[in-house]
Amino acid sequence: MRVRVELFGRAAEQAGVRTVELDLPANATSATAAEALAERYPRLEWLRRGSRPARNQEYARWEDPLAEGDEVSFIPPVSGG
Amino acid sequence: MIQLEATDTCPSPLNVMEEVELSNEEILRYGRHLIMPEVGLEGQKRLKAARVLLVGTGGLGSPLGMYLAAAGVGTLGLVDFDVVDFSNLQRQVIHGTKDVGRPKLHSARARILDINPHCNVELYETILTSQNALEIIGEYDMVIDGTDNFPTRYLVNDACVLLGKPNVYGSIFRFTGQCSVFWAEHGPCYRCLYPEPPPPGMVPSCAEGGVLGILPGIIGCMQANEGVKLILGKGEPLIGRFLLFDAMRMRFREFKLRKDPECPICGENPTVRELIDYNEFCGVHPEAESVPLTEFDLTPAQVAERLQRGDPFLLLDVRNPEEWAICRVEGARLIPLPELPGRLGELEGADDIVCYCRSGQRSGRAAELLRASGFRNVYNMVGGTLRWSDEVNPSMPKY
Ligand SMILES: [Zn+2]
Repeated sequence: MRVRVELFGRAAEQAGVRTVELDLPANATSATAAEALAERYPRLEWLRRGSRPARNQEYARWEDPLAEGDEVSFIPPVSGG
Repeated sequence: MIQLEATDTCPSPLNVMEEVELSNEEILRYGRHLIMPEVGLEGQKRLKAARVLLVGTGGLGSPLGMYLAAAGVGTLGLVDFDVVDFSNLQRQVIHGTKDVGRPKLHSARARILDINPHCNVELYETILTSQNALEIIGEYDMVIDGTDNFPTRYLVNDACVLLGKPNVYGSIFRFTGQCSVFWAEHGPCYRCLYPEPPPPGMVPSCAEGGVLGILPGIIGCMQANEGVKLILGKGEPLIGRFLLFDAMRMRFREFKLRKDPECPICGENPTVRELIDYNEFCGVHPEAESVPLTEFDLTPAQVAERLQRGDPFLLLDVRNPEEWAICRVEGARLIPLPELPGRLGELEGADDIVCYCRSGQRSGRAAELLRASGFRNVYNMVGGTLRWSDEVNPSMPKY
């Protein structure tokens, strides 16, 4: 299946792009998407451990299955004030 | 979670309201509020009766304190223990240049009372801790979180959940900001979103990564806006909605956020029933700065001495190129920490390496990484360029 990943902030800077199209196996989850992303952009390896996934503008769990055409985002916590 | 339409009233923590009156001077002052039906005399009295706690009087706390006071919030509690520094003035607009060196609470109070002498300002010159949080927060209708670290964010969240109070959340980094309203009685809490903190060192602070000075102004004003709506009980609050702001692209993204039935504090079977040790929870050791030197640490003076003697060693700067452009120690070589794992090959053969950064934090992590990769004599220059400026060469700029 094909999903579209949207990157924000530091992740977008590290990858050098803001959106990425990923081809994933049929049973892919948010976690699979993060791993595929880290394979293409090694500097994004931290996303799987240090962010929260969202699917179609709604917060999701790592194990939630994805569907064709989904938009996946990874939102890192920030602490500045 | 409740679904709210734009015309619905928003839940308010002000249920029982003490009787307050407005003087003619106050009526004149709040006239632009009073003539709008959404506020009116009744809403302005609610604002006057409200007790709001601002945790932090920094970047977010500055616009929060000034706008909430101007809007007529009757009582503002301020929690901070810091002193105004030159490096704060780029964004912490409640403090002025004349206030450098003064406790932030004092300059914040002075500015607030200048804006609105009717505001009752209550000061807590302390770090918010598990020991005092319930007592302090318990005195207020809501908390607005303007802290700058994960342990305090989790502490504020947990205390608000335990006390049933709303927590108007805002957070910033570089060019992006986040805003939401966490109120476990009506929606999700911060832990529904991030049940556990990120591994220590993974998320850089604003001191390490920088922050656009305008950003806390924008996010802090959004928090003030949400706070006022909660007090009025009007409009559509950010409960269950998480707002992400990108200043560089001037874009807002909104994510729907549900209450997590498995949330460790507001879920169906909570495992957190009282406040915990949040520094331990976040893997943070605030006393680390006073820890005695280890055999792997060198003071800037010791490094300067080795340079002067002409000892053969590699001085490795692990800061970012932007920081390198501001200042550097003569003779150093730059490999930014994020690139270090992929550039270890360039250090082959170096058997004596001294790492430095701005404060000694990142270089400490770099030294650990080098040691774990098999390099033998790796040292960390404690205190970084900040301490180098204090103890070796005062002409080196601090930032
Ligand atoms: Zn929760």
